[in-house]
Amino acid sequence: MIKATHLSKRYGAKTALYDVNFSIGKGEVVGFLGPNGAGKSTTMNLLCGYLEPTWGRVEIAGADMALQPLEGRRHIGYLPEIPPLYMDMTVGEQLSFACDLRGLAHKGGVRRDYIDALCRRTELLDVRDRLIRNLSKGYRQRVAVTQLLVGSPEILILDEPTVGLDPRQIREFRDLLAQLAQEHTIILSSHILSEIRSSCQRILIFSEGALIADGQPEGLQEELSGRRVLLLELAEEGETAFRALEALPEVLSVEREETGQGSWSYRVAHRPGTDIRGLVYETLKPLPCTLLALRPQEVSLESLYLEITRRNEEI
Amino acid sequence: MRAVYRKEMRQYFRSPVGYVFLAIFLFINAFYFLLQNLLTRSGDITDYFQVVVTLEMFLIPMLTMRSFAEERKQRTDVLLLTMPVDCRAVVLGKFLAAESVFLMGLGATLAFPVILALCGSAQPLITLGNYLGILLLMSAFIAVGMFASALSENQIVAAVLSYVMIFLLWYSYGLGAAIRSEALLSLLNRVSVMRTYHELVMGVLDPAGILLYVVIAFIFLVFTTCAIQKKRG
Repeated sequence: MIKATHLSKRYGAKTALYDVNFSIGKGEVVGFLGPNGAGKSTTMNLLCGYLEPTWGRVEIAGADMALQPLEGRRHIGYLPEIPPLYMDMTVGEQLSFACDLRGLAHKGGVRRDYIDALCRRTELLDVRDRLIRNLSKGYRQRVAVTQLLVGSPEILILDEPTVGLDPRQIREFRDLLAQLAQEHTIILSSHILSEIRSSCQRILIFSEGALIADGQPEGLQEELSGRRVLLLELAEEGETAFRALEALPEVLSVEREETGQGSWSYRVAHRPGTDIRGLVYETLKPLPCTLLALRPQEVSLESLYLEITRRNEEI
Repeated sequence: MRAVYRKEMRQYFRSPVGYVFLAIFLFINAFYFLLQNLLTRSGDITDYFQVVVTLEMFLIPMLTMRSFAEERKQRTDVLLLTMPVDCRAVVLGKFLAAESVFLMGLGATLAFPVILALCGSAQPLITLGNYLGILLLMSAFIAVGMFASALSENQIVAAVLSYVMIFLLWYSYGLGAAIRSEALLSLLNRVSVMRTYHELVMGVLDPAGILLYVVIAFIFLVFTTCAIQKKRG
């Protein structure tokens, strides 16, 4: 559905994006993650055709954006960080204008019914005839999302869509996004990890204009850290158990410390792509120790994200 | 194009811009018609047109300065440039809207030659030349103003740029004379918008002169499209 090949963008001497490659399939919900200035918005602007790449190409539904920009844009609905709304239009007029731009040939009442149906979906019917200038930030955002749905483009690109919304509005927005995810391919950007993780099946992490990671949240942690961690709790210090665990071929390192409650916690780091829970259990079973708990470490993308962006900045 | 045209027209008259432009335009025209024709009992409409043309050309940036500058400032240009709409259609829609507002004002001044005709001074060819001249000249200047607006996101900067470009185009012949270059003088004389305008108001409907204005408008509309496209790159 979307294919970015060697995508680069320079603004004068500054390289905003460098050699980014990825493809996104139909129906995927993908999150662009990265600190401010990482290249997320630039990538989005390149995908929707607002900017042209300095090098590289973008394909949208088979259309090369450099050669067939109108065909490509037909498949995309783009919501930038600042919603593109005309303050002197009413909600209905704004949506009708978007219909005109999409080339939807509605006549009189049909147009009104179409806009009403869109407004009903995003709960805007009661403000349909109000000027956008008089709406709250949350309502404006909702108008912008409704505008995005005009013509039902297959791909929705949303740049930091929840910035400035209050917690209730953020929650409503996530619910709406979940509904939209059933029918559209969605790209969502944010510098807030929890937002991306709650909505996206796949994450692309940007830092300093480069795409530094691409994968599912769980897989990403393994891929980026190069290890998985199994947490054990034993009733005693267990020197024999410690040595036995260290001797396992998949194990990279073992650390232990007292929990303060009379037991010992073990952190067993092992290679990504391996599941050693059964093996650990079988290894410890004949030994003189009591296994109280065994669980894989929870994915902590936050710390990892901070670590990799810090690492990248240092480089 | 129709969508952009309709949106622009709505914006002209939902904000004070359209009304203020028309009010000033009509006040200036009525005032000088009174001064040049009615009070002096002159039946020659050229007397009035020769004065108002320089005033009208400085009103044009009022119409055009916001066209692209404001879109960029409010970030609404993102909508226009990411929808499946050709950039040329956006430029043309905005140009025709500004042209329409100008034509509303100019249309209202048609009462003046009618008044003169009722007073027994009908000059159909001269009147036609004057109206054609001012229409073509202002159309070219509207295109110039739109180009200036596409270069900046600040309306004031866009207006100042428009004034500079309009001034240079209008007085290009005089500037050539100051350079004292025979070749340049000859070239500027041939493409002088002021000279062409004065020929038209005398009733000389020279196709080359008409073409000159059309070409200027076309070139600046192409420049405007290029300026917008360049912002993408």
